[in-house]
Amino acid sequence: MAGGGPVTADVDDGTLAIRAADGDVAAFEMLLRRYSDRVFGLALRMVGDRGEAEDIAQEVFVTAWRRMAELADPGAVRTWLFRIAHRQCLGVLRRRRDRRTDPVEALPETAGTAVGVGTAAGDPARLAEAGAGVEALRRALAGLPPSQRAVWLLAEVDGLSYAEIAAVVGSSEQAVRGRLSRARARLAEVMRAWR
Amino acid sequence: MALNRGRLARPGRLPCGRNVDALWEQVRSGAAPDEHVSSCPHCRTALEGLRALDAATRDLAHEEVTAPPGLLERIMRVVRTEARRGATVPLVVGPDPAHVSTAAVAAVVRFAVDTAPGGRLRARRCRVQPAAGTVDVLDVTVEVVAFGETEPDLDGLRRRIGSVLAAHVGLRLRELRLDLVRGENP
Repeated sequence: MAGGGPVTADVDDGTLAIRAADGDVAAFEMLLRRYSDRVFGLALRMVGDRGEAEDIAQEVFVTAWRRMAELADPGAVRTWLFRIAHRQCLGVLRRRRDRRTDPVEALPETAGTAVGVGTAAGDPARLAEAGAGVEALRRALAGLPPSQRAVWLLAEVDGLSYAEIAAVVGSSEQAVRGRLSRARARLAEVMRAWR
Repeated sequence: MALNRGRLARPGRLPCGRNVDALWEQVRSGAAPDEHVSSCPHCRTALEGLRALDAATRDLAHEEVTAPPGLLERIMRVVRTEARRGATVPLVVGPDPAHVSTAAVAAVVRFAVDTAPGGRLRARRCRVQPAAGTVDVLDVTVEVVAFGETEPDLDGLRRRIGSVLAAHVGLRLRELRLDLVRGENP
């Protein structure tokens, strides 16, 4: 029991965040298990490289552990983690851009581990078609400016509200709507051409 | 460039005046296109792209991305190392002194609160301090959130925290402050 008391699975985010800020390792581990896949997923889809995504996710949670006491609204710990992740991703992409003079053509290995993507499990033809659509979307996403890509992923993949996205990326809700709208128009255009 | 800014009279609008975001909402909700949309060439072109995007978006959102297992272990190693550097309280003095970390004692207090009968209490902030000039006596302050309608049994909770601390850590309580907070969601 020395490392931290047992924490039951139904403890709310706010309670876990307050305990973690108090130095409760078990509470922090619960938050880590709750959100590591989503933070890693966002990083992976933002930077398109598993190794870099792993580094980003590690940096996010170690930063969160050290700065948990600064979190003003413990109930919003999920949004706060995304905010740290968003900042890390933009930093990685900026450094990458500064290093290279030639533009990145396409993002490698952004695919998730699961292949059965919901539709038509027993129909290889439709599955292949669905997979091709995702690949086309991945390439289209890679072509967006990072700030638009982030807003689009937070809205469509993570299901955050406009207000939450605004808190994550540090801009107004109106700016988020505008960015999302431009991202969507651009993606729809690429997807139409792909079809 | 059917959907892009170049040809649009106003941003986000098709040349026919329809709003692209409104069309997207239609596609997302699965609603049938209205009369204008099904006959307008601008809208139909836009719909093709939006439908393809909708299908690919659903597939992308359903992909399961799992963090590598080694990642969690690496993060927890850093966290545990840093947590160990925390404050301690004396447990035994003399030639063979022993200390226990305040974080470990706080964890035991939280455990006592969380597992109290009824299951409606959750411990939050917890401060543990040795009572000055003593060895195995503590002052504890703990914030307790109570979910639900019923009035929590605070006397019972006090006794429970005292006995759990004595049993698990061998420490006695001098002062125990309970700050009760009402929880909103169950």
